[in-house]
Amino acid sequence: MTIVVCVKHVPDPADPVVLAADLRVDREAGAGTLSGLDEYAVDQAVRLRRARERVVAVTMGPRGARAAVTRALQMGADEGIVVSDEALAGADVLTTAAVLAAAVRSVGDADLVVCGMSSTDGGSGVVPVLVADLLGWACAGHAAAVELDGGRVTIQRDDPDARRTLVAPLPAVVSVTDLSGEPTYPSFKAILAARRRPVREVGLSELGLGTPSTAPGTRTVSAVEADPRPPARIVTDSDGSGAAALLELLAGRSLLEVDR
Amino acid sequence: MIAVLLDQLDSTAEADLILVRLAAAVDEVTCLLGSAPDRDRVAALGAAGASHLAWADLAPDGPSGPWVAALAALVGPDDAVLAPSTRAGNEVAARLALRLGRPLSVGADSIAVGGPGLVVTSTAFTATWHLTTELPKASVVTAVSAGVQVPPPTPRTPGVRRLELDLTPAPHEPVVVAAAPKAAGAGPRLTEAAVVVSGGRGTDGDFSLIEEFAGLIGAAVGSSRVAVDQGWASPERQVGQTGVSVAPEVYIAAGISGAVQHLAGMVAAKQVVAINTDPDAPIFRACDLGIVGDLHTVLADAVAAVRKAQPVHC
Amino acid sequence: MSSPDVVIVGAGVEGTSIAYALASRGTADVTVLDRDAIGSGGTGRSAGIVRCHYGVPEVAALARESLEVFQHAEEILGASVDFEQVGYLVGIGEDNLAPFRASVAAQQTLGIDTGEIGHAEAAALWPVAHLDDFASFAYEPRGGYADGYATAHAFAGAARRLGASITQGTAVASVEVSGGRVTGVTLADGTTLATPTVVVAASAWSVPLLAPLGIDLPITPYLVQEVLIDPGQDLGARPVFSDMVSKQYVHQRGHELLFGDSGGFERPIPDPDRFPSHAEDAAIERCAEKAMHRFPGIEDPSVKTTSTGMIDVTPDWNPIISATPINGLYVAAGFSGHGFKIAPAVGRLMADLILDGTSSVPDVPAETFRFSRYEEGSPLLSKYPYVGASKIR
Repeated sequence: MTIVVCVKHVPDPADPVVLAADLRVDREAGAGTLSGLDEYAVDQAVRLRRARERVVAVTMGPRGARAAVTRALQMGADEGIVVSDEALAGADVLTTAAVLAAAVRSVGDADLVVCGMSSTDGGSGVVPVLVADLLGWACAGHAAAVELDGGRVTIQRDDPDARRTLVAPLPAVVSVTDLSGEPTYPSFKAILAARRRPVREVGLSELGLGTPSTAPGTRTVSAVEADPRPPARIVTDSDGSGAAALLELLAGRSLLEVDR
Repeated sequence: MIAVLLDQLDSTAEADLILVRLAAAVDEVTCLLGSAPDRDRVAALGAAGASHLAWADLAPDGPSGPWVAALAALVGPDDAVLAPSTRAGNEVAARLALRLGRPLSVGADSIAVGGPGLVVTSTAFTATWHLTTELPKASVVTAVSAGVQVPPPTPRTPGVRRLELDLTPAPHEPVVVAAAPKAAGAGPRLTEAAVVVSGGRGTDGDFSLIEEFAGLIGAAVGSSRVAVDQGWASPERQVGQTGVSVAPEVYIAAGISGAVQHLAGMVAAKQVVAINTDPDAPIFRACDLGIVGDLHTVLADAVAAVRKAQPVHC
Repeated sequence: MSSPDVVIVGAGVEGTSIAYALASRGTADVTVLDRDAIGSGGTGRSAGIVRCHYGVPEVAALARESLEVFQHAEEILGASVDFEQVGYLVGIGEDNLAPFRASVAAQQTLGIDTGEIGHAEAAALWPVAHLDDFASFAYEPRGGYADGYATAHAFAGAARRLGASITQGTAVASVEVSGGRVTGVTLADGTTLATPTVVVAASAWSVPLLAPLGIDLPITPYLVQEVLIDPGQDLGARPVFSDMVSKQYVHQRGHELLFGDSGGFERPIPDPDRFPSHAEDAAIERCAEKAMHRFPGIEDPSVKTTSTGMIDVTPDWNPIISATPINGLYVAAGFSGHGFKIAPAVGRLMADLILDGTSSVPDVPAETFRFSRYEEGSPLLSKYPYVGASKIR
């Protein structure tokens, strides 16, 4: 069987975001990176890989998106699939989920899909459950821990009131949080070894998909960059100057008048 | 009509009322509840602007499928749906949008009538951009509640009805097999406190001064992921994209370097104070007051100063 | 604001060093303006390497003078620049042996503490390195690395104590000129600050500031990429290592190793404010290959993180430290990647140019870094160029 890990190439959160004229993220503007939370997904997928199994990293995106798969291979995935098609520019979550679901089907023997709980750019966190519904599979989301046990997947999920243990039958989609592990940066040996692993680039037609219909009626009509935060007032603490500045700020907002 | 999804596991009664008030400014509100409301609840939801309350026996910690089915039964072809933008709310909303073939918009901070039906605003990329999106009326929208402006409601006297549906979950839906309840922490809730003091790696595991200072000024205690990972703070304290989003008057990040996932959970704070020994920490680029120094020293000084200024209690 | 004697645009390591040098010579009515914060540009992203191995004798002399300040920062500036005097080792291949020996000899003539060493000595300095493909080495025991941000803050603090003022978060929109001489600067908020002397020390951002005055600085922003490695083992304190065979440099930063490429992979970028924050995959792979070749004794090195920076490059890869055709207007920019190592002496040289029109820095004639050298067709080039290496030499 195969574990598929879905990864996304996102603008580097350290870089300023650039929107193109059509108000979509200019994904060609800067060097991107593997979405931070997807590192946890790759880490989990590689740990959950059972004997004689493979981990296939799947991404959808423009040319540069291959870098996300490259990073997944460096972190231990065995193969990669890059779905790239001009018709996918600006794809919404429903289209994204449809493409990823088709890619999972194309793998043939997948029984588990691992995703990060959300991307660092879009951030809606709903792609995993949509992929599951499109495949007709179970979805266990926001896992802080994942275990495979026969034909079932067991996850631990932190809710505001309790830590819950959930069980779902395979095949299933799980999404993981950043409490699921601590992905390590790839070693140099792994970086060089990843160059030899196969990556398949496919378009929509190879996945048996037509051109996606544009989202019915949804249109971003304006995107305004927030006023940049004015440079911070920096106080180097000495002789209580830090505490004084802190208390002054709180007092200025009447937030110290407590317990009277 | 606009259907509003309530009673989600990770929402609160206060957040639910905000959601109802947001919806009431758009259209006549029908709320979906997970259990029969008592008289007080009917009154509170009516005061927030709800016209109809529909309920079914739906477990907040159960699978999302039955919630999706109940909403699907509730909405007509021209109705909008509003759900809380929480993990559970977004999941129900996304599944519903897929099932009904409707547009989906996640994470709105305002919703109004306009354009082809609805106009929603949201922030993106750690609140560095403000987006305005137009959708048809019959869309599924999820909205945040922290820090949003809600219009004053017109009180209603809602009618209550039970949904007569078979809401048995599909066999593949996940099942909760165990739940370890968390102790309710002392002090105000993270999402409601006017001041949040959060600790991170720089605490070296010692949250005592953070707790002492927070207790003195009535602040809630938060933490970074690293502190949760290390076992220094419990997971429900975690502020960030993968934890709780907060919108206090003042957010104090003590010994937190400011990873983007953490910033995502605190961008709605009106003022941010950072205390860190590393002047290059990214948090200093995302704050209003940056204190370069040891958090233990700064907070000990602050505790001493507050104690000195306060009248002595017997 | 009043009307200072000198306005310096840019509070990087050069601008703050110039402010300190002017103030310490008695011209204390100096205002440094920065659009962001002290050290917020290239300074804070500098690898901070301190060494004197240069093929241009005047640059080597600036580095030699600067070393005194790095080494004695606490006495001179009253603050630490986090200088780690771990030494500087440079290894050279057969192809560059002749210019290398000539360069080292020229450096020794300038009084720089450097000398050729053999493989055994080099192996003792870097036991985990594979050294067979080097023809020779030179070692500067007084080299090492310091911290760019700390250095700019140390200069800023010392300048302030002498009376200079440093205003952060204040962008200069234009330099005002009347009758061929400077009259002041106009800030981004529209206010004007009158001054007879302006020093533009704003890296690649100097170009758009001076273009409206008809001064076309031949400065191009280039992207530099570095990789921080976790060696996974304690290597002890090792000197900065410039590997002129594989074309890389490496130095320790705590328990980690910072790798940079000196193979000429720096590339021009269109906008100094827009470049990726992290290294590209190709750069990381190149680093992996080079590092695994050079350091077989590090068993399983892994990438800790990567960083990038922008350097302001001139046609001859040497700085402009110069007066301009406009009276009272000076430029200290185009440092082309070696600004940090020479910054302390740049301050002194610029103060000399402003106050005396001459240079008191030994072995550095005042006209060496003149702006007009490009127009004259006499670029400042290394006398001992190395083949195959980037020009940050």
